[in-house]
Amino acid sequence: MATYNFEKLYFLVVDDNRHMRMLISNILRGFGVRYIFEAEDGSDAIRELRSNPIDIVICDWVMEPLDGFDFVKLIRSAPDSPNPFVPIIILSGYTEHFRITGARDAAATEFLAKPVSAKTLFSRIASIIDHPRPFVNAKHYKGPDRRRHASSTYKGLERRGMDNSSLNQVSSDDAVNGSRQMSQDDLDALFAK
Amino acid sequence: MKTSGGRGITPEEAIKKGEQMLSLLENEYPVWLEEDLRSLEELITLYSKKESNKADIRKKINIRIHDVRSQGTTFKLPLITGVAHSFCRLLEETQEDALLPAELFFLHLNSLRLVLEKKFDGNAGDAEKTLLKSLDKMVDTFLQKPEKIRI
Repeated sequence: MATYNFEKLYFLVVDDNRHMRMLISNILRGFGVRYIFEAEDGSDAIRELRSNPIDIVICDWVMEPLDGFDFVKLIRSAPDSPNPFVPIIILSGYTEHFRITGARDAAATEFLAKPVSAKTLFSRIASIIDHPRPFVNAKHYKGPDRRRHASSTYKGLERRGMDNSSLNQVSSDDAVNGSRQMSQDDLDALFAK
Repeated sequence: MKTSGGRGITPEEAIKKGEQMLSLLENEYPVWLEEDLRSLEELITLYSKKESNKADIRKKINIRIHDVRSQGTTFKLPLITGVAHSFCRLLEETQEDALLPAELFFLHLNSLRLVLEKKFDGNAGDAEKTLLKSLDKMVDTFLQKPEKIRI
C-alpha cells in the first residue's frame, strides 16, 4: 500500500477568498503538510514564489487583479519566472468545457472542480507526485505535457481516434453555447496521463 | 524524493484526517457565510441605485456569489450551492452589460438567508425542492423572456 509523507513539501494556496484559503489549508494540514503559504491573488503569489521554495501551487481561477489564467501563463512563460516548472492545481467552480481546455492550454498541471473535498484534493496531489508530467518547451506552448493516452473507458469529447467531422461538430456546438458542464470524471479524463 | 522517508500515511488515512480538519471549520462556516451574505447585500443595494457603476458592481457580485457556491456543499449545505448556482446563472448566461433586476438578486439572497437560518441540509424534502425549483423557474423565465418577470 502506497504511503505519502508531505511533511517536507511546501504548498502555496492562492485564492482571493480567505475562507477558501483556510478551507484548503486545513485539509492540507490534515494530510500532514507543515509548510503552507497563502496569497490573495496572482501578483501576491509570484512574490511568495520568489521568496519560498514552493513545491505545489493550488490556485483559484477567478481572482483580481491577476487571475489564475494570467498567473499560470506568467509562471510558465515569463523570462523572470521564479519557477516555470512548478506543478499548479487550478481550483474552480467553473467547469464548462471551454474553461477546462483553457486551463489545460494555459499550462495548468491539474484541475480541481469546486466544491472541494479532502478526497478530490488528495487525488490531485497524489497524481502530481505519482505521475509527474514531462515539461514541454515549444514555440507556442511551455508547460506540462498535455498529451493524453487513449482511454477505452472515456467516451466524451476529444477522445483520441474520433474522426474530424464529429470533433468539429462538437467544437462548433461548444463555441455556440460554450456551456457544456463537465463532471469530475470528464476532467480526470481530459487531464489524464 | 521529498515525499519519501519518515512515517508516511496511506491515502485513506490522509483523506480521513483531511476530512476531520475540514469538520473543525463547520462551526465557523455559518459565520463566514453570513459575512459573504452581508457583503452581497451591500453590493446588490449599490447595484439597485440608478447612478451606480453597474458593470463593475456586477463583477464583484459574481465573484462573491461564486465563492458562496463553492463552499456550500463542502460544509454539508448543498442547497446553498444550489441557490448560489441559480444566482450565478443569471450573471453567467446574460451579456456583461445586460441590465438585471436587483429584485431577482435580492430574492436569491433572501433564499440563501433562509437556507442558513433553517439549516436546510438536503434532508428537508419538499421545502427545499420547492425553493430551488421556484428560483430556477424564475431564472429560466427571465433568461427566455426578461419582460415577463414580475416580482
